Formats: sequence, structure tokens, C-alpha cells
Amino acid sequence: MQKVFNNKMAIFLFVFPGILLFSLTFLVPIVLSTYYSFRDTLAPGTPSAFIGFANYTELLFHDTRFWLALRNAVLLGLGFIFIQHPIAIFFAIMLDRLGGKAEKWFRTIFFIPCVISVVVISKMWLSLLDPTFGAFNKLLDTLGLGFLKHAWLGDSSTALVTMLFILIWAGFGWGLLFYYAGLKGIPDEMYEAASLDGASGFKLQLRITVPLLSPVITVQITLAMITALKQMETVFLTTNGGPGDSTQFLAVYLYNKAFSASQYGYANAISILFIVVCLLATYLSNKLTRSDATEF
Amino acid sequence: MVMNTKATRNLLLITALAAVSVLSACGGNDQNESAGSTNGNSADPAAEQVTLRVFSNLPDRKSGQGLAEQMVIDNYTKENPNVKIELETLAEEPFKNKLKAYMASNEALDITMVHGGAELNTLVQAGYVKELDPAGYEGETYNFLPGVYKSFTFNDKLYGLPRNSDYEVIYYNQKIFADNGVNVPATYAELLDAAKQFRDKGIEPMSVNGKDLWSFAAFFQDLVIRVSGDQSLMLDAVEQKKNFTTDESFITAAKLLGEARDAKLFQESFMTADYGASQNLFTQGKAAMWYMGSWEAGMATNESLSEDFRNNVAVLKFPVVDGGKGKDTDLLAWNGGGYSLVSSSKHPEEAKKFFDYLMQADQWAKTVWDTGAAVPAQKYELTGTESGLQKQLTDVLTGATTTAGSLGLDYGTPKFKDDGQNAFGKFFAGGSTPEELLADLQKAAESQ
Amino acid sequence: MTKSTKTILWVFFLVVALVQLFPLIWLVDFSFLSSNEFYSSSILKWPSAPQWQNYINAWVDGKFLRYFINSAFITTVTILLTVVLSLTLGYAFTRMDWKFRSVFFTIILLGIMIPIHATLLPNFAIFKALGLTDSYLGLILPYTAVSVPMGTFILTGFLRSIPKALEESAIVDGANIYRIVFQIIAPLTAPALVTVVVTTFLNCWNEFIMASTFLSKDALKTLPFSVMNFAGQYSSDYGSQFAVMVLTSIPAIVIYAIFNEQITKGVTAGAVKG
Repeated sequence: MQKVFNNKMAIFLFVFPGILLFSLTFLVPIVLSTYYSFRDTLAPGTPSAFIGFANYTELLFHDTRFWLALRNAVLLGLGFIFIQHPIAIFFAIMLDRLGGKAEKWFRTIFFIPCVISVVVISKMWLSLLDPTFGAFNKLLDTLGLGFLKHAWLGDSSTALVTMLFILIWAGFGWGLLFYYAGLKGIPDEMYEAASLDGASGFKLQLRITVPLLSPVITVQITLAMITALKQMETVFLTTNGGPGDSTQFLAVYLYNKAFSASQYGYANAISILFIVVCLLATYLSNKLTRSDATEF
Repeated sequence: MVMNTKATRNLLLITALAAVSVLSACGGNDQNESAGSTNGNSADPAAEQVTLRVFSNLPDRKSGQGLAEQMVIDNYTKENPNVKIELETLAEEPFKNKLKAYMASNEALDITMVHGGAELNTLVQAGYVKELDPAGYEGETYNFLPGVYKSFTFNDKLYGLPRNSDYEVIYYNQKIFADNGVNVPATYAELLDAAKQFRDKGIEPMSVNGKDLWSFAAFFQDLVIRVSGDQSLMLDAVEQKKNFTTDESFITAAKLLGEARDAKLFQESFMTADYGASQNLFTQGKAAMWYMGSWEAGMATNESLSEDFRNNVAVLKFPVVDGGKGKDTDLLAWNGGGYSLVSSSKHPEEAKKFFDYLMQADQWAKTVWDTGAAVPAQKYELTGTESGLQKQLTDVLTGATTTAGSLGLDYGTPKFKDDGQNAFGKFFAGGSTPEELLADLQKAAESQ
Repeated sequence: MTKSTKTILWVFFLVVALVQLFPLIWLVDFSFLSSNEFYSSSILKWPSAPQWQNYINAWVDGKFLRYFINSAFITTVTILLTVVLSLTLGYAFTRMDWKFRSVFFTIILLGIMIPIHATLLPNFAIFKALGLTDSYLGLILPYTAVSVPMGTFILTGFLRSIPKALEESAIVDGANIYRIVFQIIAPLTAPALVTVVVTTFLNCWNEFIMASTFLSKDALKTLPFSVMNFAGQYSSDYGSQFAVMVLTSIPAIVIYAIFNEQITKGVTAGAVKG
């Protein structure tokens, strides 16, 4: 028996291709990035000099844009955790209660934005929110809320919130699906037992459902945090970090530093810190949610 | 154990090879297919078949400069049937990013479009573009206007040729002005007043591509020129020979820029509007003016735009500032776009042949002028069939008494450009003060 | 639940569903308008004359079919590779007995956290050095690499919930390890595999940053990229831009509609085990 599970060749065959591919796309680039991060490279291929930790000290102690990008990511993550996920859990519970054909239909509809390409989502929302021809401001007008009309993505005070809204719209279905799936795994007897104890309605849900969903919630919260940190495409395609850095995110900042500002060495220092931040956030989020179900 | 790993390795190798060959076969088929179809037309089978790779920032091949570029390419391949031109086009921003990736990997392109100034400087430092001999481009065949190499020359060496004379103007819609009884502004105060009148009537006064940010910097430079009457002031400040924060002209210009912001001169969506969006607003008659460069002469002849618009589009010089030393003939002109030869080209001789052909005065310059797409950087003849818009643009250029030679933003390093743009973004979206804008610009100039 | 609360719930859901779908309805509606109709004041607008030309532009100049085939091919191969690699990795990490198991497991899982944008440029240089850029493989390999960590994560979770008894009896019957993994375990993990397939599909189908960086040949480009490219070509024609966006979205929605039930079942059975 043990011989089969010890089969060295099988293990090698099972693991090696994955590891090789992984190394090519993640590990080797990270090593290269680390090398560049200690140099004042303008762009790969140009002559450069070793400058020690200069890029890192500049980033950590002098670059307000870097910290702004990080702050925005944290805010977005908190937005996901405290707005998107409670909504998703609430909808999952309600859907589960609804039952029947309607349950299936609504579930299907809520998930549709998740299958739309991020390029389409970005361009579509940019148009929807356009103050001149977008439907959103026209809608406000129709509802008699014309005074709220606004260049939602074009004003630094509302851009980040608007971004959160777009991302919630686009990602809500995933959260819903996972929580819904989690609910389906809770046996009905649990509810019966609890209602015999006199719990009902919302209280019942809170006491029974949420704790039972906790393994799902843990994983989802960690993933939400990572998603927020890694946010790139939607921002890149709508505001490109603007206006005035109000929607700046690490990946966008790093991309623009590498490509537009020709500060390749500096951009690589951002890359390395970016990876460190992501790993740290995962670790913290796991610690905070005290999960034993996950193994990040 | 030893046997095992060896066997494993062999097996893996075989699987990997099999996978690669299957997949590359799929990719390969494509290329053969496309190559085959064009080779079939070749008239001279004896000549060696060459495929040149050209990279351009003009994805629209049916109008404007893209059409002109395509016409020259078609002319060349017709005359040289052994040459096939493989063209890759991307819109402006993706184009710049992709070119950096190509530079990073030393991709064997043959000819690429380049942006003079900071962008080209990076390519030069990476050794990605070839040095050109200016002597080869003298005389009648090329007819370049004097001083147009400025943004393409580094350490006295020439690395590319400009394709256009670029200068900032204000395009405006005569009908919208007339219908609303607004006078065409000649001074900056009148411009802001016109903005107010249009706002009151629910019309967007001026469209601008605020998402791309560089237009703000150009607008500011225009103001600096009008206030100081000194074309080189802005460029000197970028080079730190002058100071943004202490020079009176900058302070005045920054305040005037703030007035434009506060008067809501630009369209409501200006901070998210990219090039296409800002143009659309103007061409669809929703904005009275558009702040843009001279390369948009093609609007007057673009069939996909309404006739009403085409008949009414006109050009306005940037208005003078009350009390300013600058005249309205001080033109913010430069040579931005151009072409370069790529060092890692696999067919350097053929590439140079096409490059030289492209830059001939009777090819790009003539075509781009005849199609009304842009104003060339070479001498061109008026044909008499020009649109009114083209004539007005020519008048602005020929009537110019001084020119800047470069955009301030492009005069420093790419880092300066990035930081400088960000300063303008903060100014327009976040409402920082004129003083803060100047402080940010000064910081950007010092830290580049 | 009483009838009235159920009705309230119904109405509530209906409203939310409408809000969820409205942007898409708007997109489809406006894709039939000509550019100057965009600026009318109505929220939705019945086109005075449906602009089929927009769709012709999108289909022909957007090179829809070409890009669609590329997307389909790249996504299919990526999914196959991801499923096989995730299954073997997941199995090796949960069942097999070897020295650096937990080290490698942690390393692979790091892949979920590492942002691809941080490694994009060096990645491009490496793939270029290997001669993999500008080929289907140049996208398939990085896509697979990015998808495998999540796939492995989902599968290890699921595998832990499957009792070992089946495999043990198979071994007694003389089955070797490969038979066990591919013939016995693979069908058992089907629900989790569905989840892997779906997440991989959506990620690859919609990815564009790598696609636009790694590919130059027009013949190889994928659908999301066509939206970008088309926006440059038809920058002043919103109607056509909207049409290409609608066209691009249709395949994914159709595939979703077909596999909707399996997706939910798969996630229900697989993902909860986390």
C-alpha cells in the first residue's frame, strides 16, 4: 500500500510539470525583479547601476503615491468585506428561503455580470456614468434626483466609492454563489433544532447560519482582501488611477511606473513590496479570522 | 530509483515535446496561411521575399493619418511586390506600453512609430532605435522644415524623423457660437465669459481629453507663453534654469488655469474622457470647442461626421491674456510623432529603403496633407482643393511669429512627464491650489 | 414563510435583478443606435432605425470570428492543462507521501496571492527568450500557471473529504497509481473539477493584460483584446463599439446558460470544503 503512495516517479510526474510552469511564470520573474529593484534601471536593456536600497527607501519613506495606492486597496478590501459580503450572505439566505423555480432564475441572473469580460465591464460603466450620454445621470434626472448628477468617476471625492460600486456589481455573483453553496450544505435539522429552542427569523439566521458558514466566510474574506490588493484591470481601463491618484492602486501604479515613467528599477521595487504586502495580508487575514479550515 | 528518474525524465521530455509541437503547429499554420495568400500576388518571383514589421499608433486605417499611412504602405508594396509589410497597430496608450515591452525584449521590428522627446530618449538609451544621418535627408526629396529634428536629436545625434508639424489650437463649432449668440473669444477673459454663457445654456463649452492629462499641461504652457511672451520659459523651468514657484509668469498662468477650472470651461466628464470621448463630444455638436492639436484637420472631410458639423468646424488661436506679453501668433508648436528604424531589424537594408520612401516629401507629407489628416513637418504645396479647416490651420502655422519647439512635458525625463501629469490631475480633480500645482511641478523638475 | 413575505421577497428580488441587468440591457439597446442618438435625453431608446451596420462593423472590422476561435482554442487547452495539473498536484499533496510536500504545497498556493502584474515584464522577457511569445503557447502556459494554484487549492480541499477506502481497495485489486488518479479519483472529484473548469474558463476568456502584452500577430489575438483594438479604430463611433462589446459577451453568457446547473452543483459540492 505504502509503496503505491511512495512511488517516487509518480510523485515526480505529478508535481514537476506544475512546479516547472510555476517557476517560469512566478519564481524566476520574482528573482529578476529583485535584481532590478536594486538598480536605477530606466527600462530593461538600458545601462544601469547598482543603487542598493535607494528604491526601497524612496518608496517607503518618501513616496506618498505608493502609500495612497496601498490605502485605497485596503479601503476597497474593507468595502468588499463589510459591504459586498454581508449583502451576498443576506441574498444567499433569502434565495435559499425563496425556493422553487424563482430561486434558480434569480441565482442565474445575479451571476450574469460575473461572466462578462472586464474590458466590457469597464467600458460599459465608463459610458453608463458618463455625464453627457450615460444612463445613470439621466436616471437620476427621471427620479427627480437631478441635484445628485455628477461626474462620478471624474471627481476625486467620489471616484473610489464609484469604483467599489462597479466592482461589487461585477463580483457580487461570485460571493452569492459561494455562500449559497455553503448554505445548501447546512442540514435542515439544524434549523429545526434551533427553532425548537425558540429562535426565529433573523435571530435564527444569525445564530445558526453565520457560524456554520464561517469556513466559507474565512476563505471568501481572504480572497476579497487579495482581490482588492491585486485590483488592476477595471481601474486601468476606467480611470487609470486618476483623477489625481484618487483611485490609484499598486498594480496600476507599478504598471505606469514601468511603462510610462520609464522607472523600471523603481517599478520592480514596487513589485517586490507588492508581493510582500499580498503575502502579509493573507497571513493577517487568516490569523484574524482564526481559521483551521484553510491552509494558506 | 536512479532508473526511475531517468525514465521519468525521458517520458516528460517526450510529453513536453509532443505538446509543444502540437501547439506550435497550430500557431504555425496561421502564419503560413497569411504569408501564402500575399505571396501569391507577387509579380516578380525572382526577387527575394521580405516581410517588414511596422508598428504604428494609428489603428483607424480608414480615415485621418491612419489612412495616409496605409496609402503610403500600399504605394510601396505595389512598387515593390517582393516586400510584404506586416503592420501592427494599437491605440495611443496601449501602443506606448507595447513599445516598451518590445524594447525590453529587443523585438525584431523594422520600423516603429515613435514619440519625440522623453519617450524616444528611453528607446535611444536602450539602443533600440538606429542613428540616422541627417545629411541623407537634406534636399528636395525630403524638404524638411528647419528645426524639426529637435525632439528627435539626442547628444547631437538624430534617431528618428518627425512626421508632422504639431501645434495646439482650439477647434470650434461656428454654428453653436452663432446659434447661441456667443462671440468668438479673442482674449482669455472672453473665453471664460463664453464658457459661462454656454454653461448657462446647458452646452459644454470646451471638450478636452482630461484622462490623458497631457492636454492640461499644453493648455498651461499656452497660458505661460501668453503671459510671459517667452517661448522658452517653460522649457527652461523643466531644465531647472528657472523656478516654477518664484517666477511671476508661472504664478499668473497657474491662477488663470485655476480660473478655467472654476469657470467650468471643460466638459463635465473631462477627467474620464479619453481622446475618442473628447473628440466625440465635439464632433457630435455637444461641445462648442475642442482643445487639441493640429493633426485633426481631417475632421472637415470625414464622411462619417454630419455635414452640418463639417461645414461649421473652424480653428481659433489660443486667446491672448489681458496684460500679457505674448501675442496670439506665439505658437505652441513642436514635432511630436515620427518614425524610427529599429536596431534589431532582420532586414536593415530593406527597412531603410521603405523608411526613406515613407519620409519622402511626395509620400507621407503629400499624402497626409492631401487627405487632410495633418500638417506635415515637410514643405508641402497647396493644391487648391484644401478644406477651409486646412487653410485656417496653414494660416496659423505660417502666421506664427515664434514657436516653442517642444511640449514642456516632453522636455524632461519620462519620470518628469509622469509626475508633471499627475500634478495637473491633482489640480483639476482634487482642487489643489495654483501654488500647490507649481510646487508639484517644481518638485517634479527637481527629482527627474 | 408566509405568503405576503414571500411576495415582498419576490418583488425585492425582481428589483435587484433589474438593477443587476440594467447596464447590460442598456448596452444592447444603445448598440443599435447611431452616434448622434446617444446624446438624447431618454434612458432607454427605441432605435429610430436599428443600426445593423454597427454589428457588421463589429463582425468584420472587429474580426470577431478570428478572435473568437483564438479565444476558444486558448481557453480550451488551458482548461485541459489546468485540470490535469491541478488534479495531479492536488493528489500528490493530499495522498502521496514525500519529503517536501508541505513546502511545495505552500509555494504553489502562494501563486494565488502573487499578482501577475508584478511579474508581467520579466515574464515577457523570459517567454521571449524561450521563443514562446507570439504563439498560442505563449498565452496558454502563463494562463495555466495562473490558474493552477487556485485549482490545486480547490482540489486539495475536496480530496481531503473523500475517504481513502476506495483507493485502498483498488490497490488491493492491483491498480497502479495512474489508474487510481485518472480512473478512480478523477470521476469522484468531478464536482470540484467543474468549479476549476468554470473559474479557469472565466479568467482566461476575459483576460487581456497578458494577451495584449504577449501577442503581436493579429492572427493570434483574443476577444477582449478586440474590444480594446476596436475602440481605437472606431473611437468616435460609440454604437459600433457597443456592438462589439455585446458580441464579445454573448459566448460567455451562452456557455454560462448551458452549464449553469453544473456550476452551482459543482460549487456546492466542492468549494464549501475550502
